[in-house]
Amino acid sequence: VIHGDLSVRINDGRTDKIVSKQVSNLEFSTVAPGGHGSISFHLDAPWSDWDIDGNTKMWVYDGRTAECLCEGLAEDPGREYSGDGEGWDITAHGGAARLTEQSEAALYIDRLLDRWTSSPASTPSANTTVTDDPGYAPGRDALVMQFNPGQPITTGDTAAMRYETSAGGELGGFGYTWDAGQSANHEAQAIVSPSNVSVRADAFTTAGGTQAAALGFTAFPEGQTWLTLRQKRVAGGATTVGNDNLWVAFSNVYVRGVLYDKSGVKMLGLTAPGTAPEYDYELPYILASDVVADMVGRLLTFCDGASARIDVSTYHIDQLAYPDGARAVDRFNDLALFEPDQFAEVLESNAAGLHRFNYRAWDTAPRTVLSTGDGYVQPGSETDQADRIAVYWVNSRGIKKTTVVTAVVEGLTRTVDAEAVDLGDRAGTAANATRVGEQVLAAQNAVSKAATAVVTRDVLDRYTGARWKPWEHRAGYPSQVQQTGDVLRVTETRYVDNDEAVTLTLGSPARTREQIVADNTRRRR
Amino acid sequence: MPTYPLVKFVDSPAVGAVVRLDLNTAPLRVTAEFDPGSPSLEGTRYGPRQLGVPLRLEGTKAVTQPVLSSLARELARRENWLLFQASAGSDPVWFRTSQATPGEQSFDLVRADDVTKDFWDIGLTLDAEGAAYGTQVVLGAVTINNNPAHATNPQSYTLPTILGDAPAPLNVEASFTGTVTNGAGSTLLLSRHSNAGAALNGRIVSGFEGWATGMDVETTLQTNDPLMSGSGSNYLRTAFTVSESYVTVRANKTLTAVPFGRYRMLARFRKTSAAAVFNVQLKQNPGSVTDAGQVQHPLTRYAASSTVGPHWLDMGYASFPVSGSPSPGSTTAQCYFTIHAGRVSGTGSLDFDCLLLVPVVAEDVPASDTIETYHGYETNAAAHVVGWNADDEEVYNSAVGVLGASGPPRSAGRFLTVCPGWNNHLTFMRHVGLAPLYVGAATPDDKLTDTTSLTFSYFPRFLLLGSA
Repeated sequence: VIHGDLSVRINDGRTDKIVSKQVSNLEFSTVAPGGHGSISFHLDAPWSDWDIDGNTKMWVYDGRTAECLCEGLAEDPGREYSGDGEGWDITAHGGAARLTEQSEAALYIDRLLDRWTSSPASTPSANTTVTDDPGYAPGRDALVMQFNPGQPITTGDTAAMRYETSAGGELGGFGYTWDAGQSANHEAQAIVSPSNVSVRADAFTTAGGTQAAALGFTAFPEGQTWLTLRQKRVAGGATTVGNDNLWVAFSNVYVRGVLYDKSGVKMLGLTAPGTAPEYDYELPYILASDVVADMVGRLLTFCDGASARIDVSTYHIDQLAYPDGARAVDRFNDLALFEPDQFAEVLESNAAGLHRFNYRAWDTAPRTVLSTGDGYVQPGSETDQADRIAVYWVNSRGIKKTTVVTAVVEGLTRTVDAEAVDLGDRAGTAANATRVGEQVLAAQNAVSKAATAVVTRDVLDRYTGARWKPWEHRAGYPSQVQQTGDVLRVTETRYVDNDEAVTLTLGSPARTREQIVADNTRRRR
Repeated sequence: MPTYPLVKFVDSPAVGAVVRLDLNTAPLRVTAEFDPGSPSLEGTRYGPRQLGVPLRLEGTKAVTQPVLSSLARELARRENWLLFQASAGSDPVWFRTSQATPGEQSFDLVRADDVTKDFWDIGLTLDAEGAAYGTQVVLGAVTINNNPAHATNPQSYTLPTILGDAPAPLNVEASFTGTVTNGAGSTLLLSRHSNAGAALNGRIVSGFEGWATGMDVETTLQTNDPLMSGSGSNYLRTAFTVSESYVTVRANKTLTAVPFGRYRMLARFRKTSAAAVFNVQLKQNPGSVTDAGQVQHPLTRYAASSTVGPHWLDMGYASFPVSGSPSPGSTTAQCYFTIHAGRVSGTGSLDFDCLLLVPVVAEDVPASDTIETYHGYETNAAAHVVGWNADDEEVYNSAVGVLGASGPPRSAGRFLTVCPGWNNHLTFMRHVGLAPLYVGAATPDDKLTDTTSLTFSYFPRFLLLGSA
């Protein structure tokens, strides 16, 4: 028996029908981020009627309107024989779970120098290292390529390092700052391969310069998978290196991967002819919305890219690469660090079987107003206010660094240090350390406003004027608590049909410092 | 002369059905303790009921033994029908019972010899559906005109007075006229309201030709086109100068005296180039005509299609009043609508025919039911039959065997139920996709001249055992 105005449909690939009269103990959930969460119910039907497995789809509809409230793929179901006959205990996972299915490598923008290796094309005696730029006194990490004193070299000799994209990846663009130890007979060059196109070549000067290049019809062709930066002796013939200044240093190096748009079309560089989508791969950063569009176009191919809503984000992400592969859910978690006010949701599928997808900003206006009378529970939390923190990290050359982050905390008039955070031996950046410090301080100083509410009454949807039944609540919108005035994000709804009640999870509990550190030290950085 | 009440196991819920076992004719008799029971209440739904049918069997063993066997066989059926008629002046009703076991039996008056008349008392409890069935009502065939402006049954039909005293599943069978099309789907929406005199039974049809276009130089009123609904100059056309992914306001309209409730919004569009892709959106404001509507309904994509249309698009749901707080004493609202459109890609214009608002959740009436079915290839329109069997939750299709890639019918939503005491109003839309907000390449054109012949049937349901 279903108590609410709901219906349930199952499609096991052989039979596709509405089974509302055979369903009991129905529950379903929605989550943000994620979209459709899970469905569970008991199906009173002979085992021979259905062939339920991981490909079996199920839907919960609002029977009044045929609106899909939750859609999912079944797990291996339990089978039960009771006095009334055979039955199934069914659980299905919605679009949120599909974000965990596939893991692929991806290159968005990579500044980590420890992924560069010495090129086999280098002259054997040449030195290639990741170290401080010898020509920049304050010091900065650089790829340094040198012909050492006492070594014989001749025209055509190279000292080179290269960056290879991971499987299936394609170069989109790159940029760097370079300088050299002297000013004659040598060039600082950038080559893309396998076409071996020399894209950039600058005659040595001690002042150096800045270069960038991108996929496009004036720079380099499609299909390039590795980038070589090198110094090359281009004139002067044979000689023996006399001084310790025949080096070139490439710093502020970034490598961009090719992006696809949300419809799955590869984006070409600027000035691409025709109607192909364009993208400026020379940019030294990427937006979360560009990453999401690329994921929808390539990784989340079960989503309807054409109708996907992807709100443009603003934060300039300077490091995001997954050479070892990453699932969509992990990538979205990473993006949430940069864009905490945007989230992804996978919703119902259309007639072509493709799911509706949104990457949208959280609204700020409350969609519903709840009362503390709605079974409202707000657990307390321990807060130790602090306005300064030290973050220890290790740079790409293995040198331990410390970044001190401060915050202005209302009501705190003295300096209180939070316990220091150690990001461990993973290669980090100063920017990342600052971000972690800010987040730990923010979490430590925030008063948790996470809460739950159980709603059994009709509630006004302030966006449309409709009066929502309990099963119409969905995650992904803010709700206001009437008595406190707090506007909290609804991050989960779980409707239990036997109670005709929905439990709303409002806000997210503050992350622990361990969670923050873990989120910030994954290998994407 | 039959003995009342009539209590019989029969093979179907119909007058004249085959009697399997008469429980109130000698040698069997239903005693005065007969209890028809009452349905349980599970949430807002009625659950099963239990019937108490105490029996007395009188006669010699030669007479009673076969009857006992017959009774056992009837109880052993997975499903059975129990006819009950209180008197000659009342109508019969049928209980849909499930398998049962005999209750307490008394052997006190069963003698040891074979010739003496015995008395067997058998307590019998039967589990049955909550509501009893009345005699099946068949309605139709009714011709539904696929023209929202037609004078007769414009994509809709108001069912006559519903018999019984409880909600009853409504079975519908449709046979189609019109062109052979693939990708055919239908949407059935049964809404209820209490206003018997309401024009169009709560539906609101607003031809876009009546909308103001002053805010957009690209949108103009067009002369009559018989493919579009309405008379005279009967549609608007927006000639796009550029393709943009965003939408801008094209026309506006004030809708007055809209009864409170939630409405499903469907709009009919056409394009001049099938490959073109448009975004369309309705916005709603209770205060004044404004570009930035207070309620921004979903952005609907009018996708590339195999033909230019017209097509129906799902535009979301509108609620009245928008504020959720009606003025004291009022039952209707006024609202300003704007329609927005943008051409995402391709060439050509977008034509706006009409906006249809169908009530789905009205104030203080039983909830509506909606079922959307994708029923596949209409190989021969005249012979194409689709049925919605609400009693058994089945959709059937005469085109089985020639379905090709479209597969068997598949449905979203729930089957229809009619409610006595209310106006039961059916909206029947052809070619509105199974999945909301989706028009694909296979969606057929919508033709105003198409008709659908609908036949309805239902078994009236009774909580109390009154007359039909």
